[in-house]
Amino acid sequence: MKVTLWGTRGSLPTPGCETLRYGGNTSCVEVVGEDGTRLVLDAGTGIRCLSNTCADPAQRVDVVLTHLHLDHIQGLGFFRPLDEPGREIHIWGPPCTQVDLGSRLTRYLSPPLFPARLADLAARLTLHDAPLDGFEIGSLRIEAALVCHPGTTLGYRISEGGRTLAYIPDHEPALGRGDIEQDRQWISGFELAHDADLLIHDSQYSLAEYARHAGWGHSALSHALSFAAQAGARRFVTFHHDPSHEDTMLDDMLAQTRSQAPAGLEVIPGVEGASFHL
Amino acid sequence: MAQKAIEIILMRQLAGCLGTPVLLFDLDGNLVFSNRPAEMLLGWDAHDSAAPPCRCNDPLRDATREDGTTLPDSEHPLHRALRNGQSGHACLWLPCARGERRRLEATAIALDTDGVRRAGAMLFLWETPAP
Repeated sequence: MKVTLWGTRGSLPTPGCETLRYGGNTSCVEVVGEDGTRLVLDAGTGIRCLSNTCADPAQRVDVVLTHLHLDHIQGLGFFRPLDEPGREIHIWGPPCTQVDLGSRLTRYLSPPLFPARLADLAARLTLHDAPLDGFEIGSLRIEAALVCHPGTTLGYRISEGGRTLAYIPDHEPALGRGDIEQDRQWISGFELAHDADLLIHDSQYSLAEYARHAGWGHSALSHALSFAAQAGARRFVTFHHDPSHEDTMLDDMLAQTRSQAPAGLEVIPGVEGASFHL
Repeated sequence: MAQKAIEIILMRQLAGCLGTPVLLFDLDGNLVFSNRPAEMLLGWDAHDSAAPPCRCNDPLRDATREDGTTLPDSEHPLHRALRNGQSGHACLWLPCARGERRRLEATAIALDTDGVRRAGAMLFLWETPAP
């Protein structure tokens, strides 16, 4: 399984010279399985550049959304394969008993917010509620679970050949406590991240910033580190960087966090363009 | 032990912040959390332990009517929430601190997650004077 980060910024695209190294595109991660199965985790603005690598019109693409906040779907209308006649595209999203996924996505992908409607796109598009009891796409096994974030939000655990990626880009496991619970049965997202080879996790705030944003659905970097350690993840990739955090600040936050990481847990900066082989 | 459903985790976080006595039950009726006001009301000295007291199902089993007869399942709000997925309210008597049976109002709410899956129920209690 190959994992590539196409967008690591949280909340709002943040272009500019201050964010060149970590990147300014919002959440988008590509996963390619051993058999060529291609998943796109979230459709933030990073998905536009990913389009350039989707040249084979015969290849199916599955876009797997954690939730429908704008920074996770803003790039969907700019995902070129969606406008290729006959291209097989599947979009998976969080379940909702009241409104189907198509109707929810159409709130954004329709005038006046967007010039085209979802139904106008040329691809052969199929929409799915992500099953909470797990599903398979090609060689990849996907577990989905609800996690602590405003609105219905999923995290994903993707496995292939004994290797596991956990993707929890928007997550506040410290909500109501201000730290991470020690008893694992009470930790949101624990089973998704348990023993993961690679954990991509929300690390939006410094601890001081978190104190002012508790309940907004995101983590302090130190909370994310504690979560990764509790879950027994081997590599933790910082993700969903706050729009106000320039490269130098992220470097400083990362250096401090690395010094606090327990043995056996590698902390990796979530830099746009980074790839990982599992 | 497996991670609990996110709805249970979130309700525990909320209940832990409330001054109202709250008990939280899983779908099998096991007590999984009681907040400090509930423990004080019911006389459970569990505040020095991270684990909830081993009092599973007591609020179901020990509830009585004013005349001392056992409250039938059909009238118990927690039973209604756990078995039928419906909210329920009742006035009942429960053993409380110092062994006294007290008159309590009890409201149970089923934690119905998506119309299909249920996670458990929460029971709010508050003491009311006898009429």
